[in-house]
Parts: sequence; C-alpha cells; structure tokens
Amino acid sequence: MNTEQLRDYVNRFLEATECHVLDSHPAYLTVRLSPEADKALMNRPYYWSFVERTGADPETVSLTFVFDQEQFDQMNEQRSRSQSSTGASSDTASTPIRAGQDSILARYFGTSPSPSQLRTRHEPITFGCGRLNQIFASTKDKGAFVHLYEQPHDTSLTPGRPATYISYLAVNYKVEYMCDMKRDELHSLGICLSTGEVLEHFYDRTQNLQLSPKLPAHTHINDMLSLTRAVTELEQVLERYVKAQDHRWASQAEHRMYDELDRIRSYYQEMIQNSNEEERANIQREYRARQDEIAWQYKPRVLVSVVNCGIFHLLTRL
Amino acid sequence: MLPPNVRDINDHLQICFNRDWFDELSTRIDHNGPWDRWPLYQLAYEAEQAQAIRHFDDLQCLSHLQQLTPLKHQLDTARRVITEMRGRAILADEVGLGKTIEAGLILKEYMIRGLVRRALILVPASLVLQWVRELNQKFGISAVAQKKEYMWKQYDVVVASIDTAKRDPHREIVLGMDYDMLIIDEAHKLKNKKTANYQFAGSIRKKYCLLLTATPVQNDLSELYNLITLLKPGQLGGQSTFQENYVVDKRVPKNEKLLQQELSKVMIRNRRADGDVNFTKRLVKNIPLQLSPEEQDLYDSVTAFVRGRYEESGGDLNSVLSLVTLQREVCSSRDAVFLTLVNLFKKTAEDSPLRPKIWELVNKIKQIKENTKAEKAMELIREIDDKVIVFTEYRATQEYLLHYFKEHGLIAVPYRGGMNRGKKDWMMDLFRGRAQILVATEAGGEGINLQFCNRIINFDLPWNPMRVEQRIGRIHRLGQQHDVSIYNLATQGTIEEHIVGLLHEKINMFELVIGELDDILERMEQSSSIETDLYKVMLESRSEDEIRRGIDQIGEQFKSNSKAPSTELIQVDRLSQEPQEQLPAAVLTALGQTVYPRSNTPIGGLNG
Repeated sequence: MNTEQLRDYVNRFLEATECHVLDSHPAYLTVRLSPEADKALMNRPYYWSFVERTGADPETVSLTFVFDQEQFDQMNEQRSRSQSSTGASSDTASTPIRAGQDSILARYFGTSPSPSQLRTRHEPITFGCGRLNQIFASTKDKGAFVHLYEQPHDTSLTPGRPATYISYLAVNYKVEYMCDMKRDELHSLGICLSTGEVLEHFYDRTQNLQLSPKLPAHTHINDMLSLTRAVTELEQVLERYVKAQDHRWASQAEHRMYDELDRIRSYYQEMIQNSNEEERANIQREYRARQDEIAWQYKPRVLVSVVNCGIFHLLTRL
Repeated sequence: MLPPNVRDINDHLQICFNRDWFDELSTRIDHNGPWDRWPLYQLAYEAEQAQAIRHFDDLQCLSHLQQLTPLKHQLDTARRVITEMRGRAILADEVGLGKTIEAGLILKEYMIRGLVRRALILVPASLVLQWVRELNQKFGISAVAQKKEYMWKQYDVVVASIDTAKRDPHREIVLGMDYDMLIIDEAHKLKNKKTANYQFAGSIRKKYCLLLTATPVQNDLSELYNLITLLKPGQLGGQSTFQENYVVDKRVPKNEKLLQQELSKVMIRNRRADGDVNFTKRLVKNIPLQLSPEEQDLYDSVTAFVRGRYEESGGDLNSVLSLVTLQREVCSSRDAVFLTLVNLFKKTAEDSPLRPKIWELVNKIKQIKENTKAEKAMELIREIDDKVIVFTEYRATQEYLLHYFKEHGLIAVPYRGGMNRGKKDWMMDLFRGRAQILVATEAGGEGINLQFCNRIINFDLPWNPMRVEQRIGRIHRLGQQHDVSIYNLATQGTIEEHIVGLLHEKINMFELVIGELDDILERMEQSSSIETDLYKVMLESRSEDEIRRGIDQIGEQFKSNSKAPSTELIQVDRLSQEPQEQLPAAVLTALGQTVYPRSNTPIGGLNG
C-alpha cells in the first residue's frame, strides 16, 4: 500500500466507525475517535468498563494519523516559524512545538509543562506498523458476516409487480500453500442459492452495487438452497481448482523433507549402534523428536480459511 | 452434513478446510443477525488482499519495516537463510556487521508470512533488554523480557537468558512448548556437548532455528560440529564419520573444500574487507588545558586528602572506593566534587578530625571563580560549529554545563539514564532538530540513533575503556556516513592527563576495530580490571614518575593481550610450520561475503 492508499484506507475506516474528523489534509488526518474506534484501538478496557458501569460521559481520544511525515514536519516548522515571528508572547499553550531553548531547559528543570499534554498525539502510519495492523485486525473482527440487499433504482421498480431478488452466499476464501515457505491466494466465490451456479470474483462484481442491510418494501425473495449444500458446492469448486494447480512446490518440499530425514537417520543410527542399553531409549526419543520437527517444518499442505462471508440479495444479474 | 474437511489433493498433498465460520454464519441467520457493516466487510477484505503473500520466495519484510534500512549483506543473508537454508542457520558474521539485524529480518519475514507465531530468543542476561528493545523498535515485533513464570505461555515472542530458562520451574515449561523459531545469541557458549546449557538447548522443540556467534571455532573443530548438530544433526556426518572425513588434528581440518561446501549449507559468515580498516575513520584529538592556580590547588588538596585516607586504611582499596570518586570528580567539575564533599561531611561524625579537613576543601571550592574546562569546551564547540555530544560521568557536571551553555547562548539538551523512554526520544528529537549540543551522562541506552552526529567531546573520561568505547559506539557504527571526531579534554598535571595518555597512545583504543576491545578485555578479565589497576596506581604512587610507570605497565598488559587478536591468528602461527595443513579460519573464509566499508550503502524500499 502506498501513502495515498493508506490514507484512503484509514479515512474510510474512520468514517465507517463514525469518528469525527477535525482536520483533513493529504499528509495527515486529525480525528476524535468514536467510542467504537476508541475501544478497538486504544487498549483501555478498564476505562470503558468504568464508563459503562457508571454511565459517565465517555471522553474519547483524539489522534493525528500522519501519512507523509516529511510534509507534516515541514508544515509544523513553517507554522512555528510564522508564529514566532508574529509576536510570540501570547498563545504559548497551543503551539508548544515552537518553544525555543529557554523552555527546553525550563522543562528540564521542571517549570513548564511537557508538550505531550498540549498537543494531540500524532502517529506515523506506514504499512506494517502496529497501529495499522490493529486497524486491519479490527476490520476482520467487525466486518466478518454481512446480510445485504441491493437497493432498487426507481426505474427498476414496476408498480404493482414486486422486485424479485436472487440470493447468493458469498464467501471470501484464503488458500494457503504451506511447507517451510508459504504462499497465499484469495478467492471470492458466490453461489446462487436458487440455481446453485457458482461465480468467481464475486467480491469485485458487487463493488458497483448499491447495497444496504434494509429489506426494501414490495420485494420477493426466492426459495433458498440449504447452506450446507451451498458450502459443499463451494468447497468442491475450490478443491477442483487447487487440484489443477502446479504442485511442484509440494513435491520439492517433500524431497527436502526426505533428504533431512535421511540425514538424521544416518546420524542417529550411528549413535544408536554405539550406545549402551541405558542411553538407547534417550537417543531414540531425541531421534523421534527430530523427525517430528522435520515433518513440522517441511510437510506440504494446503489450508483453506474464510476471511469473511455473507448473504447477498441482488436484483442485478451478475 | 458437510463432507470431511481434510481431503487428498494427490498422493502427497492434502487440503484442509477450516469451518469455524460456518456455525457462526448459521447462528446469525437463525437469529436474523447481528450483521456487520458493509464498509467494514470491504475494508477487511482489502486488508487481507494487502497482506496476502503472493510468492513463495521474495522477501516481504522490507515493505513492513519503514524504520529500518538494512544493509545489502544483511538482506542477502536473510534471503539466503530463508530460501536456501530453510530457516536453520548459523549466523557467524564478524563482530559489528549486524547479526542481530539479520536475525530480526528473518524472524520478521516468517512472522509476516504466518509461519512463525511463537518464538524464543535465548541471550546472555546482559543483552536481554537490548534485544527486546531492538525487536520492538526496529522490527515492530512485540517481544517481551521473561520475568515471571506465566510469561512463557502468555507471550508469543519471549527473550530470556539461557541460565534462567534451563532452571526449574522454567525448564519444564520451555521444554513443553513448540517454538516456531528459536534464536540463540552468543551461541559459541554452547560449543561443549557435555554442558547443561547445550543439552537444554538441544531438547527445545523448534521449527526454525538461528545460532548467532562471531566465533564459531575458537579452539577445536568439534566445537563447530557441536553447533551444527544443534541445528542439523548429521550435516557433517556422524561423530566418527566427521572425525574420519574432516579432521586431522583437533585444530586441523582436511578435505577442506568439501567441508567448506557442507558448512556453506548451514552457516553464513560475512567479513570486513580488511580487519584493520574501520567503516569510517575515528579522528582523535586531545585538547590539553591548564588549570587556574585555584583549581590546581583544589585538585592537589583533594588528591592529598584521598591518598592520606588510603594510607590510613593500610592500603585497603575497598574502604576508600567512595573517596576515589572524589578524585575522579575533581577532574570533571567543582560542582561534581562539591556535592560529594558535602555529603561526606554530613556522614562524618561530628568529633572526627576529618571534618575540618573536608570543610577546608569545601572552602577551596568556594574560592574558585572560573571553570577552565567548561570554557575550553565552549571554545571548542564554537569552533566546531556543528552538532556535538558532550559526555560527562557526573550529573552535577551535566547540570552545570547545561546552565553554562545556556548562559552563553548555545542550545543544549540533556540525556541521562534515569529518563523514561518517551523523554529520551523527545530529547533525541530536539537534538536532531534544533539543539546543537547533547549533554549526556550515559552512553548505554541502546536503540538511540545518533548517527546524524559525528562529533563527541569527552568532557571527562571513564576509567573503564569499555565505557569509553560505548560512548564512541553511539555514533560510530554501521550507518555512520562520516568520519568521527573525538575530542578528549585533558587537564595537564592531573590523573586525567595520564588516563588520556593511556587510552589514546598506549592502548590506542580509539582506533581499534569495532568489537576488538571486547575481545581484548575478555582476555584480560582473568587478571583484574583496568579500572581497579588505575585506582591502585593513583593511590599508591608518590610521584609523577611512579604514576607514569604504573600506567605504562597497564598499557603493556593491554598490548600483550591485544597482540593475539583472535584465535584464528594463533592458529596461523602454529600451523605455518606445517605447510600442508589447513586452518579452520581458512575454511570459514569463503562462507559469506566481504563487506566493503564504502560501497555497503543502505538500500531502501527494495523488494524481492
């Protein structure tokens, strides 16, 4: 993710969790978190249980997410320069960054407050940083199961005739090819719950639709395929796909595994031969432990898990 | 009913469907909710797309590590360990080339790929906190230092000392766990198969494993064999096959081409281009200065006082240790010595004959108007006209200097051990941004990044060479682009003059290769520490000449230890008489790459 994508992502997260944006700029975003986002990001369960127990008004945290540190620093510098040139004596509290050497020492000797109390905390957001991973984890937790209806255009509704929905089970699968190394694939599949037809790239196909959790009036929903049958079908599609892939990686990993097993066999056989009765049991135990480690490390396998899923009732034919 | 969730893809491969989600979905449908929001659903899928690992081989960790720009040899090493050695390797770089960084890169890469969740890092007790800090700050890995028993299980990435881990009740817990990755630092301590540490390390269940050591072979080829056995038993054959195939004498290998080939499958050793050349140069300048008559008088009086007490004690060094501090402080500033004297006065019994003597010294301090050293330092800083770190041993001197610099319009910020992390970072920011001077009392405190500065003033000198080295090491390390200037303020006619002479001219420590000092000091440790030797010389000498002789002796001792800079060289001497025999050192040589000081520039944002 580049800087722009990161900013867009975080911005959408803040909107989705109903945070209050105080200052928006390409280089940064300053927000007052919503209670929901505060709970998800600030790690203060005690505070929130206190609020819930006592019914006190919650004080959520304000934060500045910085996407372009360089530009952000420049802006701060400029701001502080222009302020110090236009008569610095007033307004000390709001712009602590501009405080010069005097207050550095003053703070060191403890006579003026530390600036961290005066400015909102700012956090650089980069791909891989802890805060972003936390946001990612929060979306996976809070965006796991949906149930949505496509909203009809005015024109698509014929008066007197109810709109007929086609229902889909959508599942976003993650396929992990694992040995001592690993590769992932994402497959977004959707299965029509009346015909059993399976669609690939289902997620992409739904991106331009107007979707809402509310069931519009005058609508009719078709009978549904059982969930169990739908999932069985989806798994079969996925299994057929995986079967058709090139699995040289797996046979190579298996080769490595057998090489390693051979290597330790020769080592331990020599040890076992040269050992007395007493030692033998220990050596054999160690040998087995090593064999297990090797299988653990190299054995190729394919794991399929689900990122998120939902029921989609659509008017548009996909 | 759903079909079984584990099925065969072919004879060698199975596919496993995780179905945890299915029950949850069914429940929500039955209860008609609660349902999650569409925008969060979208964000969750996008996050997964951004984090998905598209290929088996290319390194992902760089795009996750924006605080760190690894050097080329470090990246090459990480890549080789992952793609060729399959996550089990000995990292045997020479000291100072960043083995920790390499290990961190490898650990991070596996964690991003989801192949490592639980990791155990065993290091000497003194390095535990440093590892924790580096992993957290440089790699964003939330590692913790093991302190309580429950922590082994509670946390995914635990750093601990092997001596703690191997003891009850920890032992059983650690041996009962499955570690996705085990890292052992200073692994040469595990060279002996018979030790409890070795056997303990060998019993830990692990998937990937990294052993870090700068000295994989010290005396004996079997040390290397033992290390490799921890990692990959049988890599060099069984014990007897190894002896047969590779060993002539315990120090002399044979079939070295083959041995080298086998070693290169499990070990990487990067070397400096030239053992004598450092990455950038250290330029050392001693600044002699002359005390004013009043200052000199104070110095002489304190010296006489301390020596007098030492003689009274009958040469018992421990009983006058606190007084030695006086002697050192008086070289730093009158503020430093003043505090200690006042405290000493308070502690002395009211009828003691010492009281008037101490008070006399305090009065001498009051006579002093100037501070020759601070003046000289300021003159120097004005001349330098660049960022500079001023190191002092004493808090009182630090406060005085901050005050003094401020009075003279120089911008200085403090740095000391007692500050909390946030304050330290803030001081760093101020120093990087607007302050010209950082006045620091401690050189330790790893993880502070001062490479943007390349000048140090030693306002006073610690008597322990390692601490001097730590000071310099703050700025003179991998990543420093400029030559480093070190200024030593040396007051003529005091012990300080001798200390500077010892460290600079005799020990030549300022020009040692990074890491070389550790080796020398480790060898000297058997006798006694340089610091204590210095105390003795200072307290027992009656004349300048005697002091000079005593100091010469310490210098000689140091030199004789540094003449054998590594066992690899000892072997060269010994073996040169037997031309057809090869040295272990030579076998190790070709395993990594040579790191050239200038060309090894950081590469950023490079992926794959």
